[in-house]
Amino acid sequence: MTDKALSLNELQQAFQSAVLQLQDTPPDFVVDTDQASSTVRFKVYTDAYRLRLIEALSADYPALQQYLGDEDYDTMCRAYIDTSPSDQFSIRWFGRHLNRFLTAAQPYASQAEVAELTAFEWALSEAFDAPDKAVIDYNRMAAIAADEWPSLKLTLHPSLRRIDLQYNTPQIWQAATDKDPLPLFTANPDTQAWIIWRQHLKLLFRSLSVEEAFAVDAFIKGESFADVCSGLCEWFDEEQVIMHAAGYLQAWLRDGWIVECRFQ
Amino acid sequence: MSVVNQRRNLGFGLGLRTNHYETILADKPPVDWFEIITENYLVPGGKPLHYLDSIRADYPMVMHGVSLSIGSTDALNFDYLRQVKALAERIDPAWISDHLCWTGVNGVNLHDLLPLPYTEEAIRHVADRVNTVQDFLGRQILLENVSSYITYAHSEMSEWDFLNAVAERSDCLILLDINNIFVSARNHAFDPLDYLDNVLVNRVQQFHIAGHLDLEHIIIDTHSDTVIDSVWKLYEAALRRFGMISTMIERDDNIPPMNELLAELDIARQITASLELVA
Repeated sequence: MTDKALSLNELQQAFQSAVLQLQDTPPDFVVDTDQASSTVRFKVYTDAYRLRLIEALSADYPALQQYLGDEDYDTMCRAYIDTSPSDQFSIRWFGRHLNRFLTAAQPYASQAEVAELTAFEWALSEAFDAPDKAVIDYNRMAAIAADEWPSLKLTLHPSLRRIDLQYNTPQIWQAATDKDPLPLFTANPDTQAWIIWRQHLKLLFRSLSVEEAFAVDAFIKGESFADVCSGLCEWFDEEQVIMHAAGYLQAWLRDGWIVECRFQ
Repeated sequence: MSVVNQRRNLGFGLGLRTNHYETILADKPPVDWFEIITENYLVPGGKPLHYLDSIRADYPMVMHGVSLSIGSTDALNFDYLRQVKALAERIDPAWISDHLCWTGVNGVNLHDLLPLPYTEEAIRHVADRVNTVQDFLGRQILLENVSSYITYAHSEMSEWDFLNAVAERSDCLILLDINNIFVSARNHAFDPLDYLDNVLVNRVQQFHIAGHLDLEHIIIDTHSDTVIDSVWKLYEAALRRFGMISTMIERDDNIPPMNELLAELDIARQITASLELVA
């Protein structure tokens, strides 16, 4: 029989455990009615909990859903939900550990492309609502004095996400977004650098050459223009390095990546 | 605490949903105000805040949260409250509401609006926390009655007595969800008019109306369909008791084009007009 002295905290602990652990029998403080048993009534909560979180994951991982197919996707989501209860006030962040889960849990851990697609989609979702920041234009960069160039450091747009991919993942994602049949995953001979960002509210991504990826990563790490040029000497002749670096900066201005020039 | 009574009539509103953003900006539909889901805009930047600011320039707004978890025995989340306050400073809402429920304990969020037991202990617990929240936000908040599917064995009173007691002891206002009354009445076998007739008139600030999913043995509050006649009748009864109250249609799933929601909103307008209430 029900414990009348059950405190509010005890009730909530028992209720939550029953939902998280998908208990077959509801806690004994749930009453039957003529219309429905306590089991049927409590099941509304255990079902709704999982369905709501699956829906939230689908908003962030539509290509993954299409790739796995509804049944396997549902199984995967339920496994993630059962290992990763939400600890955030907003359901927006519930899917942030999915990549970590898929790289560790079987059978997904042996399907590297699944985790990679997840990483790509999560990076897109982060770029989607990353902070806004005004970008600088060509004039700002043209105004840099010759003796300031070596110490130039860049602050890049907060939406920028750098990601290295082993597969043709962006192609898969694009097909899913366009509602086209998905091509097969194929592994690249070498890791391919990609960058994802938001420009004028639009999500964009493009691949990077090894050299440009080095330059972006170096600026993200806080290195100066002189340091970046010196690093680029691994690929370019010394007399051509500045021209290549300037070419990158021009492209980055066009793409809206640079929000600030700093000199330290 | 010292707060200004915010009771004012905004007219007939809709929930702001992403698939209507462009239509709203292009057509400026005849909606008196929009209700936003607070958490959808507690993000750093990008489209959500861009559209929020653009639409706010043309329409009054209210903020409706789902994460306050006012009934939880966990500590209040002041990080969340700080963000709610900052968003309120950004969009200057007519008011801020959340639900009379709990959403999780031990730092876990079940992202569901879970019912509280109707006990004196729960009243004291919730009223204390509402006071803290209102002090922090510097304004009265509204709490909404949630749909529920279970009855707790140790509840000591009716849902409406519980709702009234929380509102009176914390001096907060009520967002009365007419559909939730209908849903809970069926699920718990009470007369929805008994509920309406017992809610304190001077505490009700806003109405919600919505559709639901009727499985016969139980009704689920899905906000996925049109408002049914029985709920419209209950709305009419509510208007007779409470007078013209800011009314909003909630649709969260199977969201139709804006013109269908406008047509539904017109039904609310017509019912109100037929009663010769001043909108």
